[in-house]
Amino acid sequence: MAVNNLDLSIKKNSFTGFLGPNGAGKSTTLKILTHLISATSGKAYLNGIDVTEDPKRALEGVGAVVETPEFYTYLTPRETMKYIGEIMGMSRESIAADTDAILEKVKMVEWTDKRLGTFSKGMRQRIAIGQALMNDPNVIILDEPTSGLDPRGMAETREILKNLRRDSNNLTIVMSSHLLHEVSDLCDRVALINHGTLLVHDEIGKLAKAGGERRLTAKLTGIPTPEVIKRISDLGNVKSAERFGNDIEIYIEGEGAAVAGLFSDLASLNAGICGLTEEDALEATYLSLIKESR
Amino acid sequence: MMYIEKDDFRQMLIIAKNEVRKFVRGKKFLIYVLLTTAVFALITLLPYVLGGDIGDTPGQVIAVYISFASFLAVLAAALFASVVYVSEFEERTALILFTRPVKKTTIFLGKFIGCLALELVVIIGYYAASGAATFAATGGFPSIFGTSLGYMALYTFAATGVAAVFSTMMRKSGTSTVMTFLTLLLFMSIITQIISMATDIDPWFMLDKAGDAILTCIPEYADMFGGLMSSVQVPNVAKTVGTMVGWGVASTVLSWFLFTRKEL
Repeated sequence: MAVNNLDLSIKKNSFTGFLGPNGAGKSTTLKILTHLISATSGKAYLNGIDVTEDPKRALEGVGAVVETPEFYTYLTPRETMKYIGEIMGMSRESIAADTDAILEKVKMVEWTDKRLGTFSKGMRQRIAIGQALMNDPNVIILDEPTSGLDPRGMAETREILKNLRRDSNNLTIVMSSHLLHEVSDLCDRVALINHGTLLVHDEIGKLAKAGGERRLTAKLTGIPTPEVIKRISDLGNVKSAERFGNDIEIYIEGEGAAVAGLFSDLASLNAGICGLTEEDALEATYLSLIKESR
Repeated sequence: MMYIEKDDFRQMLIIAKNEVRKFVRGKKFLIYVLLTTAVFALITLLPYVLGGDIGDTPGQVIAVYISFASFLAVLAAALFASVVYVSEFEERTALILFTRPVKKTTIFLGKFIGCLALELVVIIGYYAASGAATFAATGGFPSIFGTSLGYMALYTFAATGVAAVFSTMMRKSGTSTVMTFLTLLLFMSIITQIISMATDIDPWFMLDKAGDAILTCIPEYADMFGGLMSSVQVPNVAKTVGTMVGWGVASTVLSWFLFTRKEL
């Protein structure tokens, strides 16, 4: 069973990252929400309307990019937007105005009247996000929007999403992703699922601290000696320190102040430490919660 | 439930319009128009090149043109209707259309109507050109012409329905096209023939048998070939229309059922 007893409410006007390992049920959940597949049981609501009962009304005011959609290659971006707009019952004037504004937003103005068959994957993904914005939706559902894109395409898509979030007052976005740094960068909330069950759903800041313990890596100018490792282990707030190749991994408890204290303590040791990096806190929490749920 | 509201009807027409645009802008439509033109040109010009004629009366001349019409309907169904649904899943364009506030029934009917309308336009064009050529050659017009066109329209509807079943069942457009073509042209004829030969049952209920009415409704054709071929009979209107409508409705409902349950 891909999704099992999942109970999740997305906060209005939030940008929620939907996380989970492969096969966790992320895409299935989003496909149920967008009526691409039917749930065997249960309910799924969009703007308070049950999509399993009345998908047509539930999907009004919703824009979606699920997986990597393909377009009708015989249409241009303008014709694609017109087709979507007409289906949604928009007036001719609104379609024209929305099309211009959206193509500007997704940086595809110069390609407005070129047929989509010639577009790269990155360009098609920008058009996919663009079509999701037709008729000014208040909910946007994105299923791994940067999947399969090259680094430039990923950066461009992320920038579009950031701008979208910044420019809209009434917009709720749900985005599934494998990329934790992408979720950290874009989202303010995170929902983590595994085996189709919700593990945690909270603000990203709170979730990042949920693991309690922080792991930092100290880089040295030379080889770490047992004596240096012992001196670090004895510092306040440090739970343990161990050699990891030519680096030292340090586990501490506490929040930002504890890290700041460690910085000054390490500097006073004069142990040849030339760098200190902290592991992504969201990644640590993610790995620990997924491990526990196995 | 298969129910239609006013807004669904509006959306249906938009989808139908887009379907027509899709085919008109594609290579298949160009190939189909070229083939239809080639059939017409061969029948019209070859007799002049050879120094003969294909008939003396309007009925005899139009019968030659119309004898290839049902093949054009099969070809249209194989080229257009057989890919109309499967391509949405195969090319993943369904991910855009299906996530919109539009019922699957509306999408199904819009695509069906668009596809059928396009097929009928070409076939009506072929009939119109055939009628004009007949008039030019004989100075007359066969009175039964409209009846044949009516049967042809019903046969096209039924063939489109059969193609739609394959289009909603198969995963690949190519398979659907081949299956449609073989079913309408070969398998149905084999079944009809076996029923005729192996039993005492008259296979009037088979689509290909009913499709013969497109041609046999022309009295001159029955006069010309009735003595040579025992199967040439003046069609029973009720049975013919009932068979074609029955095949069309049954296959359309079956393909609707399959389409609305198909998931990505």
